[in-house]
This record gives sequence, C-alpha cells and structure tokens, in this order.
Amino acid sequence: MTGKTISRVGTEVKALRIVLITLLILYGVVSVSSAFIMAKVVPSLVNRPSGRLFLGSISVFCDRVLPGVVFFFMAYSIFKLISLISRGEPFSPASPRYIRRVGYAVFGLAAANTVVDAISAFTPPVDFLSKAVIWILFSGLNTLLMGFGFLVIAKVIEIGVRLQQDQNLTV
Amino acid sequence: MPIEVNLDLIMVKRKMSLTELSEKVGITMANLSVLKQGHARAIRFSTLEKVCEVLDCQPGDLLSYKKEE
Repeated sequence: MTGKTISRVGTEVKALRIVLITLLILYGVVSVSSAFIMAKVVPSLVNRPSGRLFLGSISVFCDRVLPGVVFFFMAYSIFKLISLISRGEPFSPASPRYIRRVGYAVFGLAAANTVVDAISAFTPPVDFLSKAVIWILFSGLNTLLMGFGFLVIAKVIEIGVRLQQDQNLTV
Repeated sequence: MPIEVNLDLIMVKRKMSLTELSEKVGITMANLSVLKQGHARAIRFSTLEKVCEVLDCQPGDLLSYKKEE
C-alpha cells in the first residue's frame, strides 16, 4: 500500500468511527427516551388481566431491552472491526469472528422481533390465523436473511484470511 | 509438509551466512528465515532462481520430497 492509500484508508476509518459513535449516542438517547415513555405506558398495563400484563412485559422486554443490548453488542463488534482495519489488518483471524458475532446478534434480533410480532398479532386473538402467521414469518424472515448474509460474509473473509496467510508465507 | 527445504545444508557447504545470502538474493532476512526453517507455504520462481544463482546450485538441491507416513 502506498502512503497516499494508507492516509485515505486512515481518513475513511476515522469517518467510520465518528459515524458509529454518533449512531451509538443517538441510539442511546432514543433508547433512554423510549424507556421513559414505556415507564409511563407500562403502569396502564397493570389494570389489564394478569395474562395480558405478562405478555406486555415480554413484549416490552423483546421490543426495547433485548434489542438495546444486542445493538450495543453489535456496535462493539463493529468497533473492533474498525480498529482492525485502522491497524492495517483487515484480514486478521479475528475479523470473521467479529462479523459472525454480528450475524448471530441479527439472528437474536430476528427471534426477538418474531416474539413481539406474535404477541401483537395474537392479542387480542385473531380471526384469520393464516394472515397473522404470514405477517410474523415475513417480518422475521427479512432479519433472518440479513443474519445469514453476515454469516456468509464471515465465511468469505475467513477464506480471505487463509489466502492472506498463504501470501505472507510465500517467499 | 512433504516438501523439505535443504537451504541450511547448501549454505553450510557454500560457507555463506543468512545475512550474506539475504543481501545477495535481495529478500528480507525474515523471509529467508521462513524458507530455511521450512515454514514457507510457497516459493516464487524468481526467488528460487536468485537463490540458485547465488548458491550455484539446482532447484533439486534446495528442495526434496519425503513421503508422509
């Protein structure tokens, strides 16, 4: 890599870092605000029958709390990936591991989305079961497809790492 | 790997040090060390050509094949 290319990559990595940190701050602000809103909404659930309250709590947990944790985990993995790129080691053995982690996190989000959709689709009980099931499957499948994409990219990077190691050991 | 590199033997025969060889061949000490210790996964024809030229030997003298048991 020439000096010009390295400086361009360095600038891009800095920009990526700034974007990621800005997104994290925005997400944190939105999460905290939504937690305040939910704190106002949840007491109204207390008046409902106990079964509904339980479902409501699960829905809030899967819709607000769990994705928050998963998003921060994803952001941590992306941050680590950016660090590897900034060090000039994009094909380090750790890269596919971080990308795979993001993929699994997306799978977790898909599962949480499905639970939330199922709760909202079946509360109150639906007339057309097939419509509700299709709605749940459709929203879950989109996220599942994205997670699968991340796993495939991780596999490609893994092969890239092997090629890089071969290249390094070519005299 | 069943391919063995006999670079150290030839270097002893020619009484040449690793530093001298790396200077004459024009590759880094680190790469030459990788080759000498048998950790290399591949060798370029250009490198092989230069090593053979400097050590005055044939590629067959540098490399040998031993069946893995």
